[in-house]
Amino acid sequence: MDIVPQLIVNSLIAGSLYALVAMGFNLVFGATRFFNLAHGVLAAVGGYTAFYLGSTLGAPVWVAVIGAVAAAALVGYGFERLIFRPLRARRASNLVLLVASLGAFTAVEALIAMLFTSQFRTLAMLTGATHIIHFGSGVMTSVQAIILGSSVVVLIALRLVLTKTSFGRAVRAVSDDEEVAKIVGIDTNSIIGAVFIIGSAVAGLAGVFAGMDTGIEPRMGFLILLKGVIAAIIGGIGSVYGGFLGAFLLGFAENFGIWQISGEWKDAIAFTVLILFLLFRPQGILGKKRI
Amino acid sequence: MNSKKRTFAAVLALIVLAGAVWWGTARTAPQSSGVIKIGFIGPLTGDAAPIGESTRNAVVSAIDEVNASSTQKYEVIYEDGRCDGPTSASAAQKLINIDKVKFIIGGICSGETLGAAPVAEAAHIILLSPVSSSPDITKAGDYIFRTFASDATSGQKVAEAIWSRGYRSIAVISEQTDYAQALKDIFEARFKELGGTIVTSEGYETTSKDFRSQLTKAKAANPDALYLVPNTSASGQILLSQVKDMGITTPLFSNELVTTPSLLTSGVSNGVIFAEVNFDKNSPAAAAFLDAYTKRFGTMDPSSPPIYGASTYDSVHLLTDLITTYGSNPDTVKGALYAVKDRPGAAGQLTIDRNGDAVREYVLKQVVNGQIVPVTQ
Amino acid sequence: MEYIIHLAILVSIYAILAISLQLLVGYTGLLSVTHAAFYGIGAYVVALLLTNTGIGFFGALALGILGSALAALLIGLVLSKFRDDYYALGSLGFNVIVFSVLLNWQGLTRGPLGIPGISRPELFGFVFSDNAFFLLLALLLLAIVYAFGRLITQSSFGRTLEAIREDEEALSVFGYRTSGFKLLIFVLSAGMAAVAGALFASYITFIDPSSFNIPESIFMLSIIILGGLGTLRGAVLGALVLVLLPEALRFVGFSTDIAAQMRQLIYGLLLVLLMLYRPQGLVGKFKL
Repeated sequence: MDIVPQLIVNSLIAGSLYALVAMGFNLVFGATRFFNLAHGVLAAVGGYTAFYLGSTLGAPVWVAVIGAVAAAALVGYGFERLIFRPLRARRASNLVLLVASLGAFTAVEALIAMLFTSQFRTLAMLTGATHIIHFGSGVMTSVQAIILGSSVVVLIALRLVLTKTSFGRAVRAVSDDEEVAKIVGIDTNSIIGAVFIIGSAVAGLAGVFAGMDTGIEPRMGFLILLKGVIAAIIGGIGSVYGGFLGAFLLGFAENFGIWQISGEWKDAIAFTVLILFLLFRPQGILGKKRI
Repeated sequence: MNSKKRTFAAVLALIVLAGAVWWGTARTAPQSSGVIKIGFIGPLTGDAAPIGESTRNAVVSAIDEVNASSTQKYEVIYEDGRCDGPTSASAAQKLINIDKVKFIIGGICSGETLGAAPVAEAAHIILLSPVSSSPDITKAGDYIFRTFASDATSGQKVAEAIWSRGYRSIAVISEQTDYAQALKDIFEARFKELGGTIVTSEGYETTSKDFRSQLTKAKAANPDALYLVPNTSASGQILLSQVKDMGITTPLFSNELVTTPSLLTSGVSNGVIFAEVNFDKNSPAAAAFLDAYTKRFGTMDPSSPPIYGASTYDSVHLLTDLITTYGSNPDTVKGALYAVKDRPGAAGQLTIDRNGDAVREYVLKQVVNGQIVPVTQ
Repeated sequence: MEYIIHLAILVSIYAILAISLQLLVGYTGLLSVTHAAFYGIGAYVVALLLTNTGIGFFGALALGILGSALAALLIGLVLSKFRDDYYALGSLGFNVIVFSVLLNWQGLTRGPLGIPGISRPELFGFVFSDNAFFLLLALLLLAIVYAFGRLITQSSFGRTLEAIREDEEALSVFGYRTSGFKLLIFVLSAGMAAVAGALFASYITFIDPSSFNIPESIFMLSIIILGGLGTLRGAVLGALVLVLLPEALRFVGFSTDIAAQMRQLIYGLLLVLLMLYRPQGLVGKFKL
């Protein structure tokens, strides 16, 4: 049996989840220029909201998904208003913002664990029975196909918004230079707020999908974040398109990397890829191109 | 802020903290006379928390029964070992030196037991683990006991079962944790000794949820059967559902984690053959325990194997029986523990050997339509 | 009393870690998230030597420092090319890689099984099996590390490091090879972390890789950020507060499963509030 088609499918499955995280992460980075580690916990917020709506309240799947995305967007916007905006106003350095986002991450993760316990849960009540789709000798489940499709849809939607609307032009202006954007009359704070809402919503969606594919637990955000950040950097930090490409590159590197060496080295492979990129191509696959 | 102020702030912070610790110490100091304190160490938080929770509840059930029937009263102090050695060592220090316990039930995770063991051994305190199965615990010390069998037995049993079914090549997928790796090593050693080949042995990190590429390699190696060694019910569930998703139809062998209710109801563990202590959920002793547990705490967490609770429950009864009979001197109780032979309990018959290890009979079982049925070797 | 001694030993170990990390983060401005890796390498070298060879604790300690410093040299060669947030992420990557090696190279480290039965230090036939004596040893090593840290910070080397923190560009314009200085302090700091690793391994007598992963590195960072960046005393103070805080929570009477999450919650909120209202920490001089 040829192993390659299945490895390609595995890489696509892994890449599509990383892509959803990396695109949101890069969108926020593009506008604010700092590593928002709290981005990861939004996936857990999304996953648990869907769990609460679907399991405890018995809501149908579309309500659960919309609720989860909204909750993640709300929490992400809350971070921006309560923590990051005051820090930016004070011209805090990137490291201060990074440490603060780490703190926000830790606190919210603990809060989720207190509310829902640390137990692993599935979102099977939302997905129902899945069926198997064949790609040659490779297989994936219907849920994974939906995730893959959604990552492409989100990419296209974000690209359209950023390139075709006046809001998108404002985001790009802020991204290029916040000071200049302010001078030409753009309300940078509300633009950045909107960017946080969109980016966080996508992270929430990633959390729901991760939960549907495997399951949710409070610390899921950290794992999702690490891979998402690697994808964001190797694709081209600050670029939505780059995050998308980087995610699939990472998916392929991980899954083909363990073809010859044993599977427990997956994380080490991912971080080796990151360090190689930082060393030899710190600007990522896309280079200096933005958005 | 000048340096005087800074020093002052530092000293102030020190005093406040020292005060907090002292206050805590003082608060727990008063001993209620006549009541014997027992410590408990288990993973009350973290990934293994469901197991910590159900074993703690099992302790509560057992202690309540003992206190209702015996003239000697007991009190248990619960500490979190977070499933790791250092935290557990810290918890053991606290139990022994602050609460002055002479007996500890725990740890639950093997890492906890190995972390707490040197502390208990040095203080001549009995440490009785109800669930830890690492082979290293066998030689952890004179005061260290367990009522769970070492992984050695389970791994060998499954290897022999696979061999006797005529399967000669095996692919192994195991989680990178102490329990799973010890089990995997013993299994592989025994299977090679029998003359079989391990065609591929893949690990996965405990944080990972995507095992498809490991499974792809295992499938491509075309083995006669697959041996899966997850460490938690969660990873077992993901692993087994990905096995099904990828259309792998080779016979599956695993460990007792496939008996957790969440796996049984989801159906993913159907067909899996595993080795387990001769534990019968429907035996009178086990049924009595599970009844008492359910009445008090509701259904046991579906990701915790019932055998863990039963073994913990037995450990509490064993320890309190011995203390009530022989008094609360750890050295006397230690002697009595080494003499335990064919003691009936919810988890089956228990004999303790000269290493302080439980000698338990292992049997093969299979999951069939969500039910656990015994199968022949 | 035993319990207080136990806590004092833990505080000493973390104080050593915090001092060594302080040199890197607080003085040189390099946000390293890989300190647990060097702590771990030190612990593993000492544990393996003590369980497999006849070499004594102090010999093992010396080799542990050496091993950790060598690993730091290799890693530092890569890292010293980065600055600011890229430095943080690159160093985080190395922590994961070192953790993976400790976990997966089972032939050497026994992987997740950990190394049990590590012996206590011995000097001229005297075994530090009593915790009170072990505490003396820990305090002695803490004092040496503190003195070494002071030596560095008050030397011209230390002033160069602070100049790198304030303005690396300007310094390189003046002809300083800043990456050489960054590498040197990284190696020294890793060697000091190995001292803490050695103490930890021989105190707990059982180690496994889980003690040396990213959350531990983040915990060390929280210690120095809370204590205050750019002061050695801040590092010690931070270690004192953050090591004792969870132990104090043990007594407050939260139900146990809530208590541990509560601790995480408090760490998280503490970091956010410090960044918002007091970015220089309790007694610090330098704001990130």
